[in-house]
Amino acid sequence: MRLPVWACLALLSSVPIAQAKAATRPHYGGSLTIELSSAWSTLTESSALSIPITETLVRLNARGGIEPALCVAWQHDPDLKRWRFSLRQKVTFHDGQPLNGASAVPSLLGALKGKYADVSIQAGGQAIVIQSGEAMPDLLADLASPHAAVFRQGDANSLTGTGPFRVTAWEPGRRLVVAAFDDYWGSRPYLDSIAIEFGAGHARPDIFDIPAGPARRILPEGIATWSSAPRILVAITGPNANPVLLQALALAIDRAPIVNVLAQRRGEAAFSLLPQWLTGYAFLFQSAFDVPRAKQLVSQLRPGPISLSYPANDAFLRSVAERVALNARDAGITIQPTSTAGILRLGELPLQSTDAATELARMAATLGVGHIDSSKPDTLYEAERTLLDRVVPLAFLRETYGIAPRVHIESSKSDAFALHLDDVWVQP
Amino acid sequence: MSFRTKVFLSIAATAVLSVWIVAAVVSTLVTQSFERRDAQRTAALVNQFQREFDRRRVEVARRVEAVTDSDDVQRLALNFGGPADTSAYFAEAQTLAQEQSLDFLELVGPDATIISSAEWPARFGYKEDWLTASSGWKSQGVFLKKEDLADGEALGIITVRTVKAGDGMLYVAGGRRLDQEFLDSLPGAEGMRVRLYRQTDQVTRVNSDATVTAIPLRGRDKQLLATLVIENSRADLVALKKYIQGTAAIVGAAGVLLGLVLSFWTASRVTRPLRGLASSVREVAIGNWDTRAAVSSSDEIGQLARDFNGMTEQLVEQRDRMIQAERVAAWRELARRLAHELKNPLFPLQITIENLQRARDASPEQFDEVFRESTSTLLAELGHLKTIIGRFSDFAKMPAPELEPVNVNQIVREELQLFEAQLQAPGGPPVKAILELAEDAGEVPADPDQLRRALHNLVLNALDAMPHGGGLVFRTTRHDNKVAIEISDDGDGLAPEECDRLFTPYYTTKQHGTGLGLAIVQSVVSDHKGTITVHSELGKGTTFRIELKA
Amino acid sequence: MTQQDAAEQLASRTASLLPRHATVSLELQNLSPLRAGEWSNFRSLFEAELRKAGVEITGGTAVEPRVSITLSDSARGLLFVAEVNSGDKRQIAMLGWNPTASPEEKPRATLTKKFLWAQPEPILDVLLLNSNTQMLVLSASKVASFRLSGDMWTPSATASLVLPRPVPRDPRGRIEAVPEGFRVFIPGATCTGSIQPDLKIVCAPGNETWSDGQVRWIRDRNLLESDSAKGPFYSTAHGLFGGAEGWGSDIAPIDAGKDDACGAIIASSTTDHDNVRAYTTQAAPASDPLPLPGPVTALWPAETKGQVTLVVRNTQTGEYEASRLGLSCSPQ
Repeated sequence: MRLPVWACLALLSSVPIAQAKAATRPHYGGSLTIELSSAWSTLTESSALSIPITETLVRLNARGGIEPALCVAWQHDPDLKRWRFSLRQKVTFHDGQPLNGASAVPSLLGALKGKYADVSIQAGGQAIVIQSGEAMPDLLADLASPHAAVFRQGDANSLTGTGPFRVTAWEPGRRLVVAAFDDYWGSRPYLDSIAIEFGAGHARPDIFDIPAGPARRILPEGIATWSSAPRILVAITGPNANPVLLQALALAIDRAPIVNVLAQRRGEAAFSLLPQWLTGYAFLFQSAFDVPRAKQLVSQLRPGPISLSYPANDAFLRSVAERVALNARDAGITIQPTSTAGILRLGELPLQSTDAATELARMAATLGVGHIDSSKPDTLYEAERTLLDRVVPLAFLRETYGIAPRVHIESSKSDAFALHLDDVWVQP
Repeated sequence: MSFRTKVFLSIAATAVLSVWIVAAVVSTLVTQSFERRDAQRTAALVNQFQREFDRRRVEVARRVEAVTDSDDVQRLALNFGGPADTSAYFAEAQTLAQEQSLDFLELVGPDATIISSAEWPARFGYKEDWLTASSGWKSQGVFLKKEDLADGEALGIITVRTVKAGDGMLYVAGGRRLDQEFLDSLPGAEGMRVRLYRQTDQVTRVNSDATVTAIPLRGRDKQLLATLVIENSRADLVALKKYIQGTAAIVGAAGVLLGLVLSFWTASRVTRPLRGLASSVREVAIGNWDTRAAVSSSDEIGQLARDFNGMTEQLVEQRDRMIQAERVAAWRELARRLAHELKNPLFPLQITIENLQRARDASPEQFDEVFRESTSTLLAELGHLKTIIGRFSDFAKMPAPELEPVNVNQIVREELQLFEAQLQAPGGPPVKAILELAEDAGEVPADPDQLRRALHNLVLNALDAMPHGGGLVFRTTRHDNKVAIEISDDGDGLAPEECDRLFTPYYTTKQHGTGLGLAIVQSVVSDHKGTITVHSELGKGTTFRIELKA
Repeated sequence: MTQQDAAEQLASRTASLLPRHATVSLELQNLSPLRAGEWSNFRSLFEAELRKAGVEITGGTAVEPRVSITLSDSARGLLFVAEVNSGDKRQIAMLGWNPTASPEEKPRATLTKKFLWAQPEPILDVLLLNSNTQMLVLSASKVASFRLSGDMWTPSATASLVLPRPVPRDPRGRIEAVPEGFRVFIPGATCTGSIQPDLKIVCAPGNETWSDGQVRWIRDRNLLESDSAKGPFYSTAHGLFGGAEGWGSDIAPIDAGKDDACGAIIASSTTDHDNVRAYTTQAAPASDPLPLPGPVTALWPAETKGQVTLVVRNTQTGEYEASRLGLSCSPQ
């Protein structure tokens, strides 16, 4: 359509045509520097910072639904034992090799063998067929999980994927540099590169993590913060501990001070293994802090001193362990925090995806308790209830990052679970 | 106790007692001296402790004041102007405590809730009611307090300052530890040790190597929180006392040794001759009357030996004379008996022969008849003589017993059977035989013939003692590997002096008999290595008891 | 699933936990983003369905069994949790629910805004044809045709865009009417489409100019370029304004007549509260800000004079809402 005449006249005026400064539209280009206090030992570390180097066949959207990613369509037989996936065309790996069935099979097989012992994958052109002797009703959720990413394994320090970023430098525990993959099948990321330093490195990083704990970091002026949804479960596990003892401990611990003071409100109290925003039913597990009831349970057990281990060098978990010991003492349980092995273990269990069934299955596997067969909320609720015999949840923590003013997050695609760095752009 | 032992003990006791008394006196004097010295040192240390304690109190007050005046605390206090969020100050106390080198620091809100605790960070949110419950601590200034820690308790020198916070007060309670480290910093003399014992410490010490002085340390409410214990080592004193004791022991041992030597020497001079004398006395007691004691000195003991020898010489002479006399008496007795025994049959012999002479002379027509009667009488009396002589011969040469297992009860029964007829003979004295035989009497090694003979003689004796009848009891018992055979009668009994002479050959209480019966019994019993005893009461009866080894 | 379906299913599951002809106390709570009006509606539906299932509801809370219904939000959508408590015994039933979208309220603004269409996929541009009885909605993957039926647009046809290059990460595009149909301009591709007899569209690589030959896209980027301009820019109003304090990247000229003081430019705002506002050619505010439910993702001069196509991403629902802005020059 034509511009109005008077507008055109204005065009001819001597008003200098300034460079368009996109105040709200994303900019392409630039490099992002990130500083993280705890190092990543692998390229597939679970974190709220999502740097998609690899991709999966399907992905979970913000509502937890399955949508195509590297595959465009899928079918399955009525028994859910045979699934056929059609791979997306014109997708290449970072090394230029095309994505086809043959190149996808090795990584997929490695990911699925753990759950489906007799799984087999046949590849033909852009199609792959996944078969198993047992039904695979949750196969899509499994394939959406990060550990089912499609990649080509090079040497130990490389990972060749199909994602919008490719690895240019990887020094485990020290430094990771990725660059935009111009031939990405989707849309090229805004950023040209991302450099992550583990430990203090950059003088003024664009993004830096703010670990949980009372150490107040004075944020420079203009620094905004981004917090993920509560995604890190802080819990006490005791696979060999008496369930009644764990129940007493759960009643004796006041979670509010742990969340409000020790974690500086960067989280919420946890009474379940998965947060409310993920399952929708976590509120059913909520119980009141009840020391008299805890004492009653303890009086039947008369336990001796119990060691509670926490990771050495983790000041936050150490402070949580000491607080737990104090609360437990009020109920008549003697807890001895230790940085070596203990009967009980205090640790962090981060979520890796937004699929409740996958996460619960992973927790069950960690605790050595069978596997979860269904993704129905009722079944998950019952399974979680059973797992809570071995776990005392304390808090769900958010990952919080300081964001420099020049960093913009394209909010159209971001979700509360992760900060997708492929949707981040920087002001020049 | 021997004389040597008595002498030894006397000398040893004297030596030990003397040494002990000297050692005790010296030890007491030394102890008193040490104790005086300890008391002086303790007093000095206590003064030092008090001075250091006061200095530390002043220092604590100054540092807590500095914390209270710091920007961070002031900023925290401002929080309470409105809805207070103190969570961000959770770690504040640790930082402030480090800056001021305080061991304890708590920031407590107006409602006595701990905002931040340096000594126990996890304790935020808990209450310190003692700050608001009473204000007694205000007048105390700096005071001792027991602090709860995660790993136990500690004693601290504590003070409290306040800052206006909203409508209330922010409390800053801080202090320093009063622990062994503080005490170790006090200069002390060598051998002194200072310890701090909390009220809850259980201390059991049994140690006599130190003088202990305990000083109570009280908190703000005068409750006992700890005890300062000052130990003055008595090691020197103990060593010295041990040295004294050791020396005393050595000297005492030497005295004992000396005593031993002396006792041996004394004994050898005194007891040996006495022992020799005692040995000679024992020889005499067992019958060696011609024993001579050695005379080895001219003192009283030598004189005693000489007197002993004189005594034994006389004894031997008297014994010989007595033996001689007994022999004469025995021969006389034998002759008398023999004469008595022989006279009886000889008189009828004489009468008979005289009758024969008369009959031949006076009535030759009756001589044949008289001759027949007389010869019968002569033969009978000659037979009687022959019996008497046979008995004497038998007694003179009784053979050695031929031992074989003999059933005692059976022998007794057999012997009774022999007398059955006699006991039951009509017209004779009524004698009732009673058997009381032990079932376990068993067998004894004996000569059955001699044993029967002995029993026979005893039965005869018993019957002789009951001329008018009575009870005759045969009894056997077994005890301690010995078998006893008793034969009891309830005749007239015997007097004690009669019992003494009963077994003397030719002794008899009867008008007839050789008097050899019981002597034979005794001889048989003696040959069987047994014993025979008699028990009798006049008018009640007599019991003979033979004991043989089983 | 509609509210009615959800109420029916939930009532059935709840009733299965209760004895026959039970009398219960009922408590409902909403922990989800569902609006109060819809929640109230659902509550009524549920109570009715529960009664149909033979369960009597009393007013008191002390009666047992006690039934608690909670609508919660989860990663997979909304979740109904039904609790039946009787003494120490607790039974649970759950029902997932993804409600059908409800018509949005039409925001009011000083600027007049007329809602056209909303969808989850980003809307790049909207073209009204045939006296505003037909609407073409340009998305990154397709062109959808709608016909006006009463006050509602009903889908009539869809044609996919087969693009030679992926759409840039910040997808933008333009659809313009041409005599033979319409043309679509996407960075890296130009498409020609027809409506009659059917909706068809064919795309070819290339960056043709549009807007009367003034501007074209830069390939693989969300930027525009022009022969007469130095450097890339974002908005077709670049010639007038490069931007001003507090303006967003999206600027569109609006023809409100010859009265310049009425306003000539619609600009999106960079403040925390997304809005659009009309400005004069002197960059002076000409209207009050019109608050928007989310950031502006497209702002183009419309085919209809005096109108601007506005596309906003509703931060609450996540959907893209296309509207037409008009500028009423009546004094406020």
